[in-house]
Amino acid sequence: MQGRTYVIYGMLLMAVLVFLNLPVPVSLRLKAGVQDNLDPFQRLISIVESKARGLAWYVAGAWHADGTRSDLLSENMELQRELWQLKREVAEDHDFLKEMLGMVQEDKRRLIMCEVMTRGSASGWWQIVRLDRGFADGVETNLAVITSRGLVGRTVEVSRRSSEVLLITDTTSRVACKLRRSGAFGILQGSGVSVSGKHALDVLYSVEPARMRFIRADSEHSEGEQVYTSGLGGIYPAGIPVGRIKSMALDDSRLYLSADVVPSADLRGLRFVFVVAPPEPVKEEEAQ
Amino acid sequence: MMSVLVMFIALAICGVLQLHLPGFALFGQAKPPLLLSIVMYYALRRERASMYTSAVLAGLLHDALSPVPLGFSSCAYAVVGACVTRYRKILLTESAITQSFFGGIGAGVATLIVYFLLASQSLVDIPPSRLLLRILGTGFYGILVAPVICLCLWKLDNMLGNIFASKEVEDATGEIESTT
Repeated sequence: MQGRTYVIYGMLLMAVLVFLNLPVPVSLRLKAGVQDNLDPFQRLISIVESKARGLAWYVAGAWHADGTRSDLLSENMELQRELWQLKREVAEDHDFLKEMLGMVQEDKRRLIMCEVMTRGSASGWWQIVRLDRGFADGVETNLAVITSRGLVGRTVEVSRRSSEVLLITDTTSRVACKLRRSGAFGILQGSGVSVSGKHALDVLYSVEPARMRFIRADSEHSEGEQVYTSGLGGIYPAGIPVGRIKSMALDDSRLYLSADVVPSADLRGLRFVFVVAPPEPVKEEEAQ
Repeated sequence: MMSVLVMFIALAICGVLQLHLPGFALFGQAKPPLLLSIVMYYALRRERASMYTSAVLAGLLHDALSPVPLGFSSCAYAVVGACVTRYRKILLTESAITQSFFGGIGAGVATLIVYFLLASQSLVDIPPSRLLLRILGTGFYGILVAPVICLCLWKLDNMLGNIFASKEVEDATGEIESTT
């Protein structure tokens, strides 16, 4: 019996050592497998949460309002998607005209609409939301995630039917940005959450202004100036609104400016988001 | 066999619940440590082998449901579980106060161990004040949830006859530690 117990200890120790030394792709595949297997339970809880919300609305005397609100939300998201498509078409016409003038620009990205299933991972170390779409729906790692208002974050782990998004307000997030008016570049870093004041009891994402660093010291700036993604770095496409400048000052080195940026997207109330996926490969026949 | 089944079901349910439960900003966004509470139950009230098995499995599940590299939480849970198991002979393990105490301390220590492992790989970047807040927050949650999880698992094991079976084996061999 004692021997059997030692065999169990040995196997467990071996298992931990193996898992600690797994190559990253294998580790990610394993994680994706576990997440896929637990996916039905997660969806079940999401449905229960949604029903509970509906019940809360009912208790508050808004039975009909909830249904209407859900319909309106879906319709609103659909309209936003159409608006994006229209904008893209306009942009395509614009590109065509530019191309005629000898300038080439290609951006035919797709938008994948996703619903937020959970907020925060099991550990809570990072500011993460889990979406209900995975690689089966065309989501990949390191894709930008947006709402109609602006940038939300990027996908970090993707399984078959779900994906995790690291928010721009997380302290480990970095986004290459650009000021609209002056065109000065900088790096936006999240500041995490506020643990005091009116947001102390927020369930998640009481957003402190994110910090934009390494802005050229001689660049012109003004309060409320819009910040966009610069497209540098390769993850976030250029031109996505990120936020607005709240304040700006010289940093400790006195060589660069750093600014507090209030995110444009409402990260506290996220429900539907879009993953900006690369364009679908053009079939040979279509290309011809 | 039934013991393993109970462990698997408990881990799956607690894993999904832990994922969905909110993390308040006030507690450094710490989540209630349901998975660690399962390890606490096995550390306080069941055989050592079961404790290590639950620690490894709970850790792997925890890591699989978050961006933590696989194996980090298993190490932390196993260390905490081993420490609790070491002193359980001198404790009143059936008491909810004992379970609360070890739930709180264990959750705080596990958080600290995982933090050091993550920081060693530069995967987290939080100031010390927030880390402290997070440790206290996890500890607070641990105090609340550990006795509840212990009670539920104890009732379930009793209902399915796992405790009785375990006692029989202990009587027959006299080698497996059991507080039953």
